[in-house]
Amino acid sequence: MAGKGEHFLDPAVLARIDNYNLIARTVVEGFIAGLHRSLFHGFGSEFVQYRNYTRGDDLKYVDWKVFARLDKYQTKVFQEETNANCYVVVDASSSMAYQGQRSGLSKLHYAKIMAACFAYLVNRQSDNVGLFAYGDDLRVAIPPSHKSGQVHYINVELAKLKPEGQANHARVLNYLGEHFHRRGIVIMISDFLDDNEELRKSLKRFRAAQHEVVLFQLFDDDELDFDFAGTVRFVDSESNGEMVTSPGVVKERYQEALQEYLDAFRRFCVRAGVDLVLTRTSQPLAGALSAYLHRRETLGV
Amino acid sequence: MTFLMPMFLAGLAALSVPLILHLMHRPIPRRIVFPTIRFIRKGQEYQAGRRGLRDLLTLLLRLLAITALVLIFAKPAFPRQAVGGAVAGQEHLVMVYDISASMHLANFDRIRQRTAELLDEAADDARIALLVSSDHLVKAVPFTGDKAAIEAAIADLEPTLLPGLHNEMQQRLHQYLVESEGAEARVYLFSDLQQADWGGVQLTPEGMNDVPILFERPYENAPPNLAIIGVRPEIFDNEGSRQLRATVRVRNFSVEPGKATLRLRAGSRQTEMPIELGAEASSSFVVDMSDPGDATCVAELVVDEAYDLDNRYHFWVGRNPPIKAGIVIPGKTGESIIQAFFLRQALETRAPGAVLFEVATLEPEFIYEGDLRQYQVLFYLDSMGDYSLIEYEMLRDYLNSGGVMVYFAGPKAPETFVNFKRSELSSIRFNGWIGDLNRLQSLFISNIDAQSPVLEPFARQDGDLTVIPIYRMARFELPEGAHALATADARYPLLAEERVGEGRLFAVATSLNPRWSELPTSLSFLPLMRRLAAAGIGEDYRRVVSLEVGRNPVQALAAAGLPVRAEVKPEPGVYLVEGIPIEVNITRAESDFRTAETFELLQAAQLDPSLAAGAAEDEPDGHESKPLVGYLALLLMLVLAGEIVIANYRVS
Repeated sequence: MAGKGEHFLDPAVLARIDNYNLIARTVVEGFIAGLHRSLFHGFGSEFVQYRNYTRGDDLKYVDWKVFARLDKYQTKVFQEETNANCYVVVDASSSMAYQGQRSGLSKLHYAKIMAACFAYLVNRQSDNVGLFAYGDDLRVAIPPSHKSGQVHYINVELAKLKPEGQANHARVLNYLGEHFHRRGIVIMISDFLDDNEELRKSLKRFRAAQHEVVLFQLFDDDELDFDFAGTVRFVDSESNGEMVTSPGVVKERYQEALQEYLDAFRRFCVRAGVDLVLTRTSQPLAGALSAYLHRRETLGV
Repeated sequence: MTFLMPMFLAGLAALSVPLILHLMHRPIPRRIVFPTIRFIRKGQEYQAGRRGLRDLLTLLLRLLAITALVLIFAKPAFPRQAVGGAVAGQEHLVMVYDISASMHLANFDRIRQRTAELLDEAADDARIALLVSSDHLVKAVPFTGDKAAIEAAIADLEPTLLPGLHNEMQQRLHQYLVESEGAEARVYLFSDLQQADWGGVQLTPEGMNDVPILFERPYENAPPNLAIIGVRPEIFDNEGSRQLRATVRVRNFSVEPGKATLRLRAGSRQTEMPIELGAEASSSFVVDMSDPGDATCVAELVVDEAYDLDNRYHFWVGRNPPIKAGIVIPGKTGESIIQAFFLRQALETRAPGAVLFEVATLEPEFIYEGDLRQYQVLFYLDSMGDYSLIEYEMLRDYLNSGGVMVYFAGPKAPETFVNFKRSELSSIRFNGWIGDLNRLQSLFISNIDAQSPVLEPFARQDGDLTVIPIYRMARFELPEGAHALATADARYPLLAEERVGEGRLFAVATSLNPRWSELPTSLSFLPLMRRLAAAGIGEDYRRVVSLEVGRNPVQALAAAGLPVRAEVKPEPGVYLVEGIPIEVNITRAESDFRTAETFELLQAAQLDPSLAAGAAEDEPDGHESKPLVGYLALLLMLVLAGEIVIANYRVS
């Protein structure tokens, strides 16, 4: 459903904005404005007591059942819940540098926007948000916090992030597992092209620790559609291996192999209770944010 | 390898075109840094090799096609050594011996001696093959270096009574010559080279016209070879006694002049005359004999010659049996009775030595009464008017089986010719009438076919056929198979003849009614009707059967429409079957005039050096290009087909 301000979520438009604060606020506010209110309302606070209604109180907090029984306006007072921790993990390996011939932004750029939005959204909901970025090794580690300036801090780090090295997913997950014991939501943004046993073990450990894990698997349209013309010399972004081929000739077999890999990874995620959201960089961010909110509800903290 | 048209090799430069195009179109790959090439590599494992192979194969096929095309024009030629596999320079001799009947007078000792000389002259490492042929391949010895074996093979060589038919030998000879490609091959042919024996024989296979064929005469001088190829007897009365005048046609088949004595024998009487014929000449000799006495006569040539089976000719000089003729009239009207009267008088007239006719006057319904074949000739006086198609078809069958029909036109001619056409009896068309019955104008015969045996006597000036007035006549349009024997006013066929199966149809455009023409009252009427009536019986009422030497006599008789019966034997003689004399004589293929002349024979046998040189003038000695060009053309077609297949093949 196209909501108000949804056009702000178009990645091609966002790519022209280099201020992650602005991007995040625009995206999240636009996203929230388009949501049905019931979806966004009701978490993050807990009823404590009633107090007399005073002028200026939001009418939505007036308990109309009490008014009916006592003929008095009583306003519900909530105590804020314990903040949930949200770990936004961004893959900044070389493979994330890819920007397709028809795309307005690279996968890493999309991932950074996505991370900024999550940070803003989580912070707006008074949850703690932290950022972790990695390639070969952990390159950014901002512990979850709700303090003022946390989002700005995250956005500054995101802006500095460059694609580099081979992705070592297990390393960052192991780091998180070792340093943060409080259960929370792990939002991991990567292309997960190098699925391996270490990654799977790490994800299983996270699930065992009652963390909610949402994996956003980013793909450029070119990677999925493989619509290249002529003869192409493909250079592997991480291993620097090369091969020359006619994409039109190998397309079908390529897609079969890719789909086979994606299916296998998806089956693992389902069995492990991990949400996997396959995202095209040409897609609006609404789908990604919705997936997060859905998972946040199930967390129930 | 050499090239007959080397200038076309410049066309090989065209090879650069597909090469350049291939290189130009060879894609320069774009460089794309891709997240991972792991999945591309999996696809490449399946397809890349095939695509590359296809491109390369296409290029190769195109290069091959251009090369083949250029080579076709350049005419590559390999020395025979390369093709045949024989040792270059080695002598390969093929000795061919004709032992057909005509070689009777050949000196076989001389042949053996000459063979020994040739073998001595041959090189020590020469390889010799041998072929002996009559009407089939009697003996064949493949190439061998054993000269003694060759001499042993001809030690008992003798002529046979079989005719010459060398097709089987020709095939084996071709095989031997192909085997000897690359070597110095020669063929020695021991034969009297009878025309019919060798007329259709191609001694060298295609493309090997330069192999020398050396003709070895089997005798010092060509022996006489005369044959009687026909006798035309005439019997007439001379002051009360029968006189035989036999016109004997003799042919000399030898390349040397021939002499013989021509003898006529009839019972105990005989007469002789010396004859001389030039080389390969034929001539007719008239021999008279008074009171031949016997019914069978023999003309023979007395000569010592190679083949004498055709030197005797048996023929009939007895009285001829009557010819049964039927005159079919449309009804017993006055006019038809008068016409039948004229005709009957003409046929029944008896004269010494003349053919006898047994005439019956019939009405159209006779066709269902007995066998039509009992009549050797039927005269229809415009009397088919009431016939249906069935009756026409019966008449057609009658003609097909050898009958003769003479049709006189009349008022019902239009529908008669329509039914002729429908029943496939005749294709002569009726195109209206000329003249009328008022007799105010008349037409005359202006042209007579002097070549026709029927009208031959009337072509002379003393006949009155050309002055007979014709008042009314049908206008015929003759098909290809029919021809006009006599034409009125130089345009309109008056008497047309058409062959129908074994029989003949004579269509007369006018009627015997005196209101139509003066024909019945003319002097020519009698002989003309009699000759027409006798036309279907054969020359002088004889059935002549020629039996070729070596041919199945039963088949020969059957081919002549004479099933073999007890009274007819497949051997020379005269036999009477139902009163009809049947002459059986032996002839042979060599006696057939239709065979090749010497020049044609030499041409076919490649004996004429100038002809052989002419045939090979566009190719260097010892080279052969035609088969190579054929292979190249085939290769070109295959390559193009491959190109099409590859072009339409899609990698899936």
